Amino acid sequence: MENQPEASNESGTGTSNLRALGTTPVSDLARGRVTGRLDLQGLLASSTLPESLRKLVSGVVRRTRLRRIEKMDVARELIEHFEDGIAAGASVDELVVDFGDPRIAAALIRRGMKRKRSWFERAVRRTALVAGLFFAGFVAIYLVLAVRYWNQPVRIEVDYVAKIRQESDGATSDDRGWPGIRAAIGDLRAFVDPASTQDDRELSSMIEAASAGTVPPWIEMVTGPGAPPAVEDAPSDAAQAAFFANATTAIDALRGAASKSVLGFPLGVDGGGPEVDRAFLGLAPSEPTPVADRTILDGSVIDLQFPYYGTIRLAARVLSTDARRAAERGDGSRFVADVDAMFGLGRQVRTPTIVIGQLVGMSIERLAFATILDVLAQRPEAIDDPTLDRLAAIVAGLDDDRLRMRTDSERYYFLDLAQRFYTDDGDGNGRLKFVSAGAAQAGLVPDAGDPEEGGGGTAVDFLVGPLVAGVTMDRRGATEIWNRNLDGIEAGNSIEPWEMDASKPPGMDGPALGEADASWISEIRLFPVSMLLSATHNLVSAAGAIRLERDLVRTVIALELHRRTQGSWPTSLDDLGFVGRDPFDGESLRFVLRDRIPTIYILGPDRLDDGGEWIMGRNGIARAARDGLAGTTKFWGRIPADPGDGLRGDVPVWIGRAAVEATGGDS
Amino acid sequence: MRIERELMRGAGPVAILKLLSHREMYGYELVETLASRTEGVLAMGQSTVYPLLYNLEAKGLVQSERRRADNGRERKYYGLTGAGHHRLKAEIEQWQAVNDAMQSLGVIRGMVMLGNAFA
Repeated sequence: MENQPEASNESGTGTSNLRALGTTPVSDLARGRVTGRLDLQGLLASSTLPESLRKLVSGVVRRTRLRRIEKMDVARELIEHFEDGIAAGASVDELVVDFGDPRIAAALIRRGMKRKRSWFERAVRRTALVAGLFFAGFVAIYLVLAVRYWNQPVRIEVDYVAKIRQESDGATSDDRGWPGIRAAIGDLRAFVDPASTQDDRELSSMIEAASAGTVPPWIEMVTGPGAPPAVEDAPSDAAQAAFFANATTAIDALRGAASKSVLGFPLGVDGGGPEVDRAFLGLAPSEPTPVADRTILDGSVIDLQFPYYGTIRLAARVLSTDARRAAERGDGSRFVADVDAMFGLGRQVRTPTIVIGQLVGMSIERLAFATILDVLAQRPEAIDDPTLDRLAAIVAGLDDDRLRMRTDSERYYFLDLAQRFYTDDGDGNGRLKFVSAGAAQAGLVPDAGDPEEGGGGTAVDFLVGPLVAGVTMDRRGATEIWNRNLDGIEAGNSIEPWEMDASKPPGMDGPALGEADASWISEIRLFPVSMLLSATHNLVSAAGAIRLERDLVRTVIALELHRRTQGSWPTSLDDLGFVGRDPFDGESLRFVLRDRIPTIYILGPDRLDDGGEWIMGRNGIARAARDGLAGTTKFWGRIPADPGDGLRGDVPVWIGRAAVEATGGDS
Repeated sequence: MRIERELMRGAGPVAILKLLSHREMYGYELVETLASRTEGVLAMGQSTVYPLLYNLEAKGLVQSERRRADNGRERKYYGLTGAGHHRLKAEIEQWQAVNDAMQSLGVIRGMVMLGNAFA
């Protein structure tokens, strides 16, 4: 209804073209029209009001702080108001007095005019206001974070690499097994291929091929032979025989090295220490990192590598194959010596006590257990009674403390990263300096800067660093979560598999993990601990598995001893001096004698004793038992598996040989 | 007689609506009519009437139109909308109820309806 008359720039007010241009709405200019209809002074000048009322109108309009087009509307109406008053006979002074306080009038008019604006316009303005306030708040918070961020330096004060190396560095050369292992494996390499002195592949192929011709896994008595190992250009039987004939001295040396108290590998921060080890492991000669290429992670635990794990694993495989060959040939003493040496390697490789070292050690111990179980199932006559007693003592000597998962050095990992990635407020706390260190390491920014000076210095670091530091958990909180996580893993050393709470990942920091999973915001807040938590997912069950595997071996040895002393298999494991436990319910391992074949089994995922009926037929047995007793770890815990998942039945963990009893034993 | 501000705040808009219910009026005319018809009781400052009109316009109770008067001068005229008529009716009923209640309490005597005053 309201019509805005256009003020003409030809109204006789003397408005210059430039002024008309400046007082024309953009919308009019867009249409190519110079209307000058926002010219308040021109409007007042064109009125018949005296100067005092013009000033009053001008003052009120100015104080309304409305938009120019709104001011023009108000001004026009006030001019008309006063012109009407004068026309009605009122004096100028009366009009001024009757009008009231200009400031109050301006405030009321402003309020009224704003209410006339459309809801859309008001919504846009309110949104812009809120957005502006948010932005202002964000800037204020950012500035606080930035001041805090840049005022706290990163301090690298503790040499955690030295702490990790401390255990082995303290050993004398006579106590170190690594030099002997290196020499023995070097000799064995040369026996396979004299030209190969820096590569384990040829030796590994030889061992792979040779193991196929010895005592097979006990499960193959039920399932039949498995597929032969895929070894390209497999050495002939004659070559294998020649190798082991030559290897006797080297393997003796290997056993001797495995008996040393520590491995004693000279850990370097760049994949190896002395050149002799670097050459042996096929590593390039060490060269100091140019100063220009150094980052905040140089010399950190990240640079601390363990290139010998593969060699130690290979040494264990050599010993396992040699043990099986010895059993084939009736050399029980050599068999037990090899197995004992495997346990020695497992012990050595568990130091330094990082998680990966524990897992490598467990894998070697598991290989030794499997070797014993296979030989006792198929070549028990190779081991005479005194040797079997010695074997029993060796296995029994692997107490829970020896097999426990240790994380002492693993804790240093986070602490070292924390002192490089977090600032230091001098009180053990600080904020994450993710960008300066992490981005430089990832090559995202050219230089991390001097960490002693606070690190960083790039535009990315400058802008993003305070925000990352602000939203992520502080150093103390992150360290506490990490330590609680490792505490949980260590606590798992005393948790039996059947006691585990299967509703949550074992060893994890429950609240922190739950929070990390709650939302992406929480995940960011817990960064980088949230990433490390998931990396330690199944470590608790590993400790329980190795304990139960040891107990299974002890049970089988006791079973064999019973057969030898009693002349027959027992009807129940209750007659034995030692019986391991079933991981599913904590009861004694189950035993069944069917067609004179002794079988030890566990309940399986359905937690029901099916009398030794295996799950899923012959293939099911192989699938469930291929990895030994630990092959079912994912089903352990207090929560029964869904019986509808097809895993009904029991799982055999060892099957003996009927022919042994038929011969009446060899004792 | 000067009316308390709070009472005026309730009465002012109703008075404006009532005046505009008969014919369109411009600002100065509204101020003068209000003062003369109520013998100054409901006279409001000239600076008050325009914000009040803007508020009523924002609520959709009145509408304005700028047009040239008989004397050749341009003015903005205000008139009641349909919603304004409905609101006025409701307001009158409420004022009537207040009036009756005040009478029954003996606060006021006689019966001078606001509607009659502006008839």
